[in-house]
Amino acid sequence: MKKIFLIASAAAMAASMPALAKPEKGGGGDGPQAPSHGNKGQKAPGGHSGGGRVKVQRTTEFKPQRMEHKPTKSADRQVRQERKAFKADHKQMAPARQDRQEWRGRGDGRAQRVAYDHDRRDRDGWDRDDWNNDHAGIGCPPGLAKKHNGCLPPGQARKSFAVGDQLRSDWYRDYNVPLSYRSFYSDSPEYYYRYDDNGYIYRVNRQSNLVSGLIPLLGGGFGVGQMLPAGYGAYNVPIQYRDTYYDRSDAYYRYGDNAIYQVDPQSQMIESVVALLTGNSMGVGQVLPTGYDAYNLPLQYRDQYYDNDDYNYRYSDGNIYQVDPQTQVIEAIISALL
Amino acid sequence: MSNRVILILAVSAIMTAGCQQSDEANQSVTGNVQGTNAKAGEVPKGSIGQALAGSNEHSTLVQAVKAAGLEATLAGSQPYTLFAPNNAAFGKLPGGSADELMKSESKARLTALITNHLVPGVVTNEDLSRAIERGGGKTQLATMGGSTLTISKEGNALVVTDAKGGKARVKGAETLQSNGVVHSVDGILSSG
Repeated sequence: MKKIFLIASAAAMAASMPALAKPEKGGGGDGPQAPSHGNKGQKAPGGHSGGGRVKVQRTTEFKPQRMEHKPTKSADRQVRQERKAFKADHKQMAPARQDRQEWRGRGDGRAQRVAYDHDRRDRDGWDRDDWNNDHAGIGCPPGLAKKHNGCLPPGQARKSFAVGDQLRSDWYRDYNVPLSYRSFYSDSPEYYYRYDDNGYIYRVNRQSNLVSGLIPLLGGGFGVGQMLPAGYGAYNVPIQYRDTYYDRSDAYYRYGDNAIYQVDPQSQMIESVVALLTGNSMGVGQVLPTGYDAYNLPLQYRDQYYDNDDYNYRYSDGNIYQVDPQTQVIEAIISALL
Repeated sequence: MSNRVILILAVSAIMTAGCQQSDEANQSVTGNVQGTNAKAGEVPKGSIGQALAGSNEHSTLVQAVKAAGLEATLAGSQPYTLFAPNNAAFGKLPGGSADELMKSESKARLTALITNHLVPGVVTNEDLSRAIERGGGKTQLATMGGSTLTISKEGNALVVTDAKGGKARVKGAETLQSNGVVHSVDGILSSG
């Protein structure tokens, strides 16, 4: 059974649910039916009557999300922002701590405290390992403690640079692309490649030092047949997917690295990748990211949410986004649970 | 025949002609350039994964999907648009590369390659045509892998340009399935 929720205050939900009604279908002369039925940029000849159009209530009640920050020129500022974001993230994760401790207690020995050197300080004067281990609460998975992204695995960490940005030369003097990728991303007269330890390789124009391309490395710590990395004991599937992917006695679901994994509860082995996410940051008040020009709703939603002069609809990562056609600003999020 | 019957027939003929004209007008605006397997009003059964498995032209891709551990994704409930490289596309990779990709140590790279052909949601030929028209000749699609594909038309054919400028053509009709749509392409799309 399909359930459609508005991500908004409960009041907005209660107010708007009764208002949602299926529109009348256009007359027979409209030409091709579903799947193209919903994709009309303008009124079709002899098309929908005025009263039938579905209008999702503009959810002005809640604050637009913070605009995604453009990567800054200052490495220090970037780190401070990441630290803030990290703390916010981990506040939410705190309730799961009990879960994780129970999981550790099963004696599989994989969740080890990372040994760290209290005296190692970086250029900000922070003892990174202290920060990582104290603030994490969950403990950093081995191999991530040293990174300044606060224990976030590759793919979930914010990109350090966007295409068009100037690469800071003091960050990436040395060719540091991971070994298994070197044959494919090797420095050339025109470009050089640098890795940011966050799961992204950057292709940089040698003349201008401007980032001309970005290669995200998926599956950094995750893969079918591998053990779930340490630190993923708690159920952490994004909300819009929770009705579809919930823990059962024969399967657990964990989110990481822009994917949802099915995990064997006993062995902690990753059995399959059940869904992929774009990881694009899309919130109310933000401009739709590049690459969502085309109408892309799954067929079963096209009758209800179709492009018109007032609203466009775009699907991404389990949600339907209502977008202003002129400004491309996201006005509302409809959580689509398939 | 009575005058009234002639009148009714004449009016019917005019109305029918009008309808046909509007259908043609619609087709020229929306035009499924590559055709589709979808029948009006039907929700297709079978997943993208099943469509690929049943195709003679995509056995290498099926192998790649298995090697990357993504079969459950393409057979699952979440909607994707897949630009599926056919066997010939893999054949164009420099000697031995296709085999190298299938090895377990290449899994991350293979996953990155596959996700660069995967777009969120369901973008049909018709959706692409409309977007291309709105965009003055091209439209951009964000892939699951993080890069951008540019879709344009050359004549009636859809052309996909990847982030590196490489081009591939969409071949044949689209295949609409329960969890998305497959567009077969004759080249591998690079992310950068």
